[in-house]
Amino acid sequence: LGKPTDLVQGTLDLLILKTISLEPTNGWAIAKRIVQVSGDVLRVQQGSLYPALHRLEHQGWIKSEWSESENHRRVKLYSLTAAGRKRLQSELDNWYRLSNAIGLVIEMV
Amino acid sequence: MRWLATLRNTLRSLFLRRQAEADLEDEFRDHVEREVESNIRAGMRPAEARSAALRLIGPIPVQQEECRDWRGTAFFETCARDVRYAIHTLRRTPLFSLAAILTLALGIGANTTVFTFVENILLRQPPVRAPEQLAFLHWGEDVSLSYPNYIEFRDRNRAFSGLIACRYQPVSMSIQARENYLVWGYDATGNYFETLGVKPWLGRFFGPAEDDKPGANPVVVISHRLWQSRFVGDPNVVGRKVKINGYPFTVIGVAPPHFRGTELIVAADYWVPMSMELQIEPGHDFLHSRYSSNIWTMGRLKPGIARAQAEANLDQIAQEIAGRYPNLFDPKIGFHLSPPGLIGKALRRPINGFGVALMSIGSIVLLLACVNLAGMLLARAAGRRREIGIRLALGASKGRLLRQLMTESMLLAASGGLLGLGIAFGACRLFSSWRLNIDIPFETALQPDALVLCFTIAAALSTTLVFGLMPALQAIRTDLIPSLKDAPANRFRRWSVRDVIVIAQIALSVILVICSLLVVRSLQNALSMNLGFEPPNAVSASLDLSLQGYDGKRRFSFEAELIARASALPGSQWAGIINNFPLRIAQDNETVSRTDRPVPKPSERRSAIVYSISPGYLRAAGTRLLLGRDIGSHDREGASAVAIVNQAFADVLFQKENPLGKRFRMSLSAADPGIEIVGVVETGKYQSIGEDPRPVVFRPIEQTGRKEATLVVRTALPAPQATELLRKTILDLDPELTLFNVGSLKDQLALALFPARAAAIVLGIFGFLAMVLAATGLFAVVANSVARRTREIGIRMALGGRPGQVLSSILKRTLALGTIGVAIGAFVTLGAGRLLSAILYGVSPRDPVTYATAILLMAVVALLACWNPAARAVHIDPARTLRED
Repeated sequence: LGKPTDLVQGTLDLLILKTISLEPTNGWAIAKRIVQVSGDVLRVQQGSLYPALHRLEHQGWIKSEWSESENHRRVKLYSLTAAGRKRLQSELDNWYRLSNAIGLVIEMV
Repeated sequence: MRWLATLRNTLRSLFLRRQAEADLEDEFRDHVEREVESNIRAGMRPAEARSAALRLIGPIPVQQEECRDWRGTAFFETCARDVRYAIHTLRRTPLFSLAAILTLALGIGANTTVFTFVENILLRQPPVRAPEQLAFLHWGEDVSLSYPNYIEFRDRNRAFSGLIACRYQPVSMSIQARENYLVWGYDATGNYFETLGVKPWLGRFFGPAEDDKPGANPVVVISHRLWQSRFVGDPNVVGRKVKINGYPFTVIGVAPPHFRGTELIVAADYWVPMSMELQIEPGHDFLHSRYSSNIWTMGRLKPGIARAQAEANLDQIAQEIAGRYPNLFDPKIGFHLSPPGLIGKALRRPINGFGVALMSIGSIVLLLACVNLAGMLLARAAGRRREIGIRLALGASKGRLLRQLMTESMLLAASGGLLGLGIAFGACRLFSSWRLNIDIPFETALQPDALVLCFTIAAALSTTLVFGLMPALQAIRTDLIPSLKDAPANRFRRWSVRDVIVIAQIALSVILVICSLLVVRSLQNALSMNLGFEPPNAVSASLDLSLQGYDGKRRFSFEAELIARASALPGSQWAGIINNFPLRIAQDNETVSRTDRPVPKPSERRSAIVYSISPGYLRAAGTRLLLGRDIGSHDREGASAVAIVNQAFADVLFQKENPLGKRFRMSLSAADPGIEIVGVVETGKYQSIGEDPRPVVFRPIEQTGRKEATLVVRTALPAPQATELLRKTILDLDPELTLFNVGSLKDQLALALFPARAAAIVLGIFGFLAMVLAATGLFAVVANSVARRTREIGIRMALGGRPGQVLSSILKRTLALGTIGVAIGAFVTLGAGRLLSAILYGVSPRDPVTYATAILLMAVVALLACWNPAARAVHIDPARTLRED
């Protein structure tokens, strides 16, 4: 199986929120970090990353600010809003409940 | 607060669009550059690194577009595009657009004006604290109580936190020597200001302590307006001395700018304590007269007390009073409370009726405007079938097209609404600056406010829905193939929506035209009917002699001198005095009964209006004496009591008996010897021109001692000249006198004719509007059908059709539609005529002449509207038409 696993529907939001929860991060780094941390298992379709970021920003879960990079390019950094932080918590709770349930089913049957 | 972030984002992308675009560009560039750098670090060559990076991220413009979708501005951008496109389309057909906007502006303007009127007069409340708690006391239909009874109610009720009374009347106010002004205002009880909760603008108001001893506190509060006008805004006005009816008063305060009493239509300019009543009206001591009714009473309901409870409480006190004073407070009649502002509710019904009529006529006109526009838009949509077909064929969604067509309508409505608002403001200003030709300060200021603005917006929006949606839906229902081939659709359908619209248009305007003609005819009748006096060739002037201290003998000799001088004026034929001229507001009513019968029970009592007249009055006014004799100079104080009655009085009290020499009493005492009837005059109009015959008594002025006087002079001179002479004659006799209502007798009718006149003006304007709308609507429809049938007509003519045939083929349909419309309109008006009969005088709401005139008028208008397009059809050149396309 050479093909990277497609993201489970709806989990991209969760991954983005979680990734930027530590520090303000730019889009490229978000994509890279998801790939890296998952050990190359999860690959963000890069085409869907930016629309998702813009949607989350428009919905008020995340906010952005501009700063300057080490080689003088303008960089857009995303971070969580207060609402986004709450949302992340509830999404995480949901996720654990779901994956536990799936795990239980798989082990019992 | 998430929505705030969303809003901020949307607004930012909307107004900082360029910045947002640059940001988007930079963001993607940064991403690609980082990927390239990372690839190079991993060992790729630069060119290879870049192409790998671009491959990984995929098509950037598509992603950017998806990002843009999340800005939330798509809606606005489409709107902006639609509006731009709509402006473009509307400018391509300027005539249509202008007609549409004007139509809407007239409709919306008329309705906004009407709404302003209704809002200002019917929905407004007096500027006092918690006006909703305030209630006006009515005893049956009566609006006035007596002062002693008021005091009992004030002190004994358990329902009101305060019960106030006031009396609205004119006084002569002298601010400097030899400068008298007629000013209307109130005698008010001491608790008036504190109960209403009004705070003084300057100085102070009077309280209960200054109203407890008759004649002890000559103080006056003036209105802000009077302060500004007559006192020129004098900052030291408090403490100034003025004379009211010749008695010195001290100004103690100025009322706040908008407070002119609790009445909405008649405004007050002064307030004096009611205990000063006898100083203001010498000889008329109503403070101690229990059987008269002189004052309006209002109360502030205690919290938690319902109107019904308060009414029951008042009734209970009334019955208790009736126990002590027989003939007062008939138990069959009860108290009821109504919101203050229109003399309680006395004026509310007629004004309500007028408002409702105005509103309904206004809505009919607006509906007509909508129908008209819908017709025009339908005609236009037919012309645009090809364009719409192409757009549908190219894949435009129906929703999108609908939205675009509605944007066009919305744009029309917005422009029309804006213009309409302008028209309404103009009309309100015109109305505010207009004054009834009488001396009572009527408050006619119309102030459009935020509520009016909301109304206009609502009207514009709803009209858009009414006139825009149907044609738009019709337009997008187009079948693709025939419309692209430019074939006329629905050729064989017998009834199209447009036909119904034409019929509705004509029917609505027929209704309005008939109504306005009826009212105009009724006004003509009113002007020429028998009023019981002859308005032409007579002038009059009113004065109040008691104001300047004339009393008793001195007064009678002054009046005799006045009449003598007025009769001796050049051109004068007769001169005489009456206390109150008929058809003016003030009237005295008395209970009358025959002396040869027992005193009647309350339910069988008859009342009559009582006038006091001098010798010569009847001839000066032109009132015809039918039987007996006129009042003579020998009918004076101390001589035997006599009276002249009108025919209605004789009919009511004496039926077929000869009334001459019979006696009647104006009291409830069986011992009263009564008054002898010496003459009978024709019955006229006394309170309103629409009234049924009323019993009236004319008494000799010297036997009644009434203080008001209106001098009437019948003259051969033109009215302005005679008026000037009259004014000069009176002021020569006494330059201190205050004259009011000086002018021709015709002018004196202004108030009585006001309802009919207002209705005639309004209906006239609306009727004319309706006709113009119907004409333009018809014109548009016929012109459009000719334009669409150009080809067909060309072929007919080429095949030998004669112009007459072409003409009839075009006009036949219009004629049929017109006839149906007229018939429907006429029948509806016949059915609704009853509603009109209240304001009609001397003309039946089913008057055939009026109907015929209206129908003829409509026919002429319809013909005129069809003429031009029909003529164009006849002149179609077959060769050219067929060569087109």
